[in-house]
Amino acid sequence: MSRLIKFVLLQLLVVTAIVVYLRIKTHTFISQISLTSAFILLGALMAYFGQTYQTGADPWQLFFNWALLGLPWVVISRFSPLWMMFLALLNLSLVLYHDALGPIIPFGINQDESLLWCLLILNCMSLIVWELCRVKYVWLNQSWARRLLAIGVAFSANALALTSIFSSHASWLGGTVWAFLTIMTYVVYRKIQPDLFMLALGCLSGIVIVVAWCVKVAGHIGDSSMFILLFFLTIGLTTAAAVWLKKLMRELQ
Amino acid sequence: MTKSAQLLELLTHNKLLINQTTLPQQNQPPWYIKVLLALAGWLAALFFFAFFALTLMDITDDIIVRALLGLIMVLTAYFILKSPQSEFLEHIGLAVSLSGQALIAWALIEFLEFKDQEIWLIGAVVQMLLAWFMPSFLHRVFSAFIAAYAFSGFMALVGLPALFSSIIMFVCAWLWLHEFQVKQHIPRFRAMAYGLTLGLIIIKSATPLAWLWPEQIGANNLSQWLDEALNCLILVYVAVILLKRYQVTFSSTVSLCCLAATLLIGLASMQAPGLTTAIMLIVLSFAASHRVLMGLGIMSALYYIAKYYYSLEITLNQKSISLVILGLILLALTKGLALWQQQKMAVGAQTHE
Repeated sequence: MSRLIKFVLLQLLVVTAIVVYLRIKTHTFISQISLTSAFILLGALMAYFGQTYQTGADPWQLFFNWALLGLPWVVISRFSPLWMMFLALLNLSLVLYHDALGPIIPFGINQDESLLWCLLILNCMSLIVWELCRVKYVWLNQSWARRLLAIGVAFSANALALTSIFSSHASWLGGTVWAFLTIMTYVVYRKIQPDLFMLALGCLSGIVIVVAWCVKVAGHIGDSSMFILLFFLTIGLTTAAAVWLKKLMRELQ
Repeated sequence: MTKSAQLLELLTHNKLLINQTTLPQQNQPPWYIKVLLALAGWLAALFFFAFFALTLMDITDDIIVRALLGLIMVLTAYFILKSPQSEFLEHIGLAVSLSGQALIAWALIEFLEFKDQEIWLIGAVVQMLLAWFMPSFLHRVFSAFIAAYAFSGFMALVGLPALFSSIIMFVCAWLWLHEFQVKQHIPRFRAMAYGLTLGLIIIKSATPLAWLWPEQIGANNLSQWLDEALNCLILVYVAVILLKRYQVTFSSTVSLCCLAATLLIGLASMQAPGLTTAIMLIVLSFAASHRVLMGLGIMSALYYIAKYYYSLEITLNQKSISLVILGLILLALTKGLALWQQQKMAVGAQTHE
């Protein structure tokens, strides 16, 4: 099969998915699936373009341009999975950009820290916008999507806080932002709009950071007694978190 | 208001409930609190083990003492976990048991070689026994997971890498299909099924175990096809059991169509390792309305498709063709089922008139 035929075939598939979308009623599940198919096929088309013209293996531009070109379909689809796919592509683009070209953020921050800051900003902004918009747009009211975004935020914030604790070169800013986000999690998901999952995630994040900080502080002890102290600390914090979460669960029921 | 409460209100509103019914107080914490407890429990176990290892190294080098101490710790954990449940005790129990197991494993690794078959077999048997006897959901999930992993290592070292995934897949399917059949074993079956499912998903990706069978690489091509063919048969077995459950006559057109479609899907997904497993998980979760299992099935399907896309053994063209064929079969089946449903409803309406 010649390259031209393959290009025609892939483009025909994209066009077919869009024609299907145009022919059926909008905002139905089938119409959303056809837009999602078009979005995925667009990626396949771009990957084949990259393969044919040798633009490099999985460059960040492929995923970024894929997300950018597919954005109009994402907007009109009103479909949470497609929005999550779009955000996943942006996350991937950031990872690949840092891998290839080094840090985006200047001020002498190293590559890993720059990547974590970028991921934190992207996912945190997405979560805030998602939370604000889901009141108005019912189709955004999918708990799994919010949870995935929150896991993304927690992962990058925790990694930044751990870097602040253990790396002598890293600034204290990572730890401060982590503390701010933890307080905000409590305020938003306990006081304003109770959500047990988000609070459990906050507790896990808190346990990891407190234990890590104690490892750093008690590191100079250096014998087995340090480990037994850390063991009791972990058990104590986890038990307190579990008791509090179960109490909240009964309250919310 | 929870979904159960909404349903109850709807039923009461439509006068479908004769007596005043109230919802039982739900005491089971949701899965994410269990995950929080598990992760923190394992972190605690790590510290506990480090404490024991350092203290022991100061006292003795004898591996028998280590193994015995490990055994005593596992037994202590059993009694802690058996006592009336509290978060604190469950954590202590988990941490003590995991530390005890680590001490036993440490002694075994020093006594036997890491590539000896015995060490993997002993590991699998001990973990399966722990999964059965330990009175803790988290412990059972963890032990079943490690048992699956150890068993696959044993099968690879024995030279039967094509068989282990099918055996684990069969046990996993059987447990999910019979989850509610023995009342006193429901929590046990569920926890073990979860552990085996997680193990199966990771093991089917084969990456974590690749270092174990470099000598089998030559025979891998045949092994992979045999493995996938057996997985396909298990998918058909699941379909047969589900048809039986819904009392569909085996020789009826519906039953034959269903089995043929299952076989077709299984055969079409054979080239992409793991996809049959993911499809089985999705089918099982749909049959039991099990949302967590459904999530695991969908996530693993996406992972296996991505992994297949990046495999270098076959060309992109071949991979695309096999995925397109599978997609077309699934779309045709969806359309066929929708038409059949419509036809059935039309016939039903005519009969009613």
